[in-house]
Amino acid sequence: MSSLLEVRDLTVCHGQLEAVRGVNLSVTSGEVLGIIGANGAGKSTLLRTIAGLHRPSAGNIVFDGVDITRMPPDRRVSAGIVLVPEGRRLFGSLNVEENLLVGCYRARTGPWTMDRVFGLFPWMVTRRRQPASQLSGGEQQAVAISRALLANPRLLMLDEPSLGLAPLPLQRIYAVLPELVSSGLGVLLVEQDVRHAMRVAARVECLLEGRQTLAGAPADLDFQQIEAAYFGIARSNGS
Amino acid sequence: MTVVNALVQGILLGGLFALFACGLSLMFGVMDVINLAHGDVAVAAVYLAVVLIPASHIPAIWIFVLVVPVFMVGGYILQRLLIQQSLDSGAITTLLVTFGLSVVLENGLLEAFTANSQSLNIGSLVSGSFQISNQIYIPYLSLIILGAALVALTALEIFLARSRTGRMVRALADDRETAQLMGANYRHLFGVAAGLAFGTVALAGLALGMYTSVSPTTGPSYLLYGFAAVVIGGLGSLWGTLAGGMVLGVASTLGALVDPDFGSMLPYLVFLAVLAFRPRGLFPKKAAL
Repeated sequence: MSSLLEVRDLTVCHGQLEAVRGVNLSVTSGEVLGIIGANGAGKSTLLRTIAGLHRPSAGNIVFDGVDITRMPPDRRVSAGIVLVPEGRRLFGSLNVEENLLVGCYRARTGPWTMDRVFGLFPWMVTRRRQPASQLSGGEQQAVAISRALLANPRLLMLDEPSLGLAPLPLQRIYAVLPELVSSGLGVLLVEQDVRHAMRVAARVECLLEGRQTLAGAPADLDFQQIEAAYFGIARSNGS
Repeated sequence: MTVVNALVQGILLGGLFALFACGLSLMFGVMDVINLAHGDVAVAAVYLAVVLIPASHIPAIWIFVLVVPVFMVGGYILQRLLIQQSLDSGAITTLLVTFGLSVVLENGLLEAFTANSQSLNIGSLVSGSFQISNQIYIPYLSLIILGAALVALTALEIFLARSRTGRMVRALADDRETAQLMGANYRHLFGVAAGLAFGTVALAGLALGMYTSVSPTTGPSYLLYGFAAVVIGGLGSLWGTLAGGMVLGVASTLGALVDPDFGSMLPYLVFLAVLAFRPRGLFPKKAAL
């Protein structure tokens, strides 16, 4: 199967700092690729660059065979790339329904409609007029993911969906993933919490200081390998 | 009775202040731009009307049909070409650029029309009024201006609350980056917001030109009133701006009862009091996430 997203030799700088260094990865439709790594490993920068918020200093991003490296972020949404940003980032002065409608602004045609979202999260129906700022963390994450789904993306990027969530709401969020993937959506999942990523992803990549240190299917990787790749222990022991 | 009359006249005047201030509030609320040329844009609208009225044979009271669209398009273009560039290089730059724009507009108008003051001749309407009690006369023009202000503010509010584009403008005001991630082309939408701001201030300028006379250099003094109305009402809230305009209007007519000079001073004392005791304004917008 040809890949939906292809990232080649991507390097992204924040001023002097190289946050992402020569990263290569690909995501195919109907697959979850997990990206794990410690704080500051460059995971968020990688996703934000794919979404178009940062300009890479080198490398290419190819989406569905088209080079989109220089495409502005709003056009990438129309092309089918949607990012659920870290910290959920709902529009606080808009109510729940309006937040969802923002997702429909540049929506492609596809399976996701307001009714289908309300089917997935029935509590939203009765609380649609409530300001988004009054929701709990888990509810906010559900709205943020629904808002992204309403754009009918082909590639959904989730940046730390587990951050700040209690176990139960977190389970609910992750329970939705398999259904999404079975409909042919490609998912790029960034997690600091390795266990979540290992459970849902078909393959994981580990980043350390902007570099890829490990790649493979969760079943093929053992705990020591991951620990070494995650914290860079092997390297510091060797030096 | 004279106090009641002053209140009524103040509220009528407040409509004009609110109409003048809502564009300022919109541009600051959506894109954090403080447009120092706001007053001069209003004055420029009067001069465009002065040129267009004889050429188009449209009665002066209807000239907004031509002038407002010109300023809306002009606002969009100015935002895309000039203000956006300065926004990209930092907030202080927008102050400098809009200040520069103010100087250019003032001197351009002085060059083209001399320093003589101008007003829009609307015939007998300017002095017509009806009586609702012994001492209270309501001028038709003031009522028309208040009506226009209410219609413009309501239309703006409905646009922002209900339309797809308006909703996206509000999303941008909340969080520009996330709005972009949902498909907002912020340069275009900022242009739309600037177009609306310029349209409303052009309308306010025309009302001003019918109400009194303006000269190329009067813009900045109205800018001050606009700021005061926005701050008294609470930043980013249109109905707050309307209330702020009315407070200013009432303060200036009540002050004028004591002494004509006090009439131009009392609004600023109220402004100062609001800044001191309710710095977020009378109707502050709800805190964002």
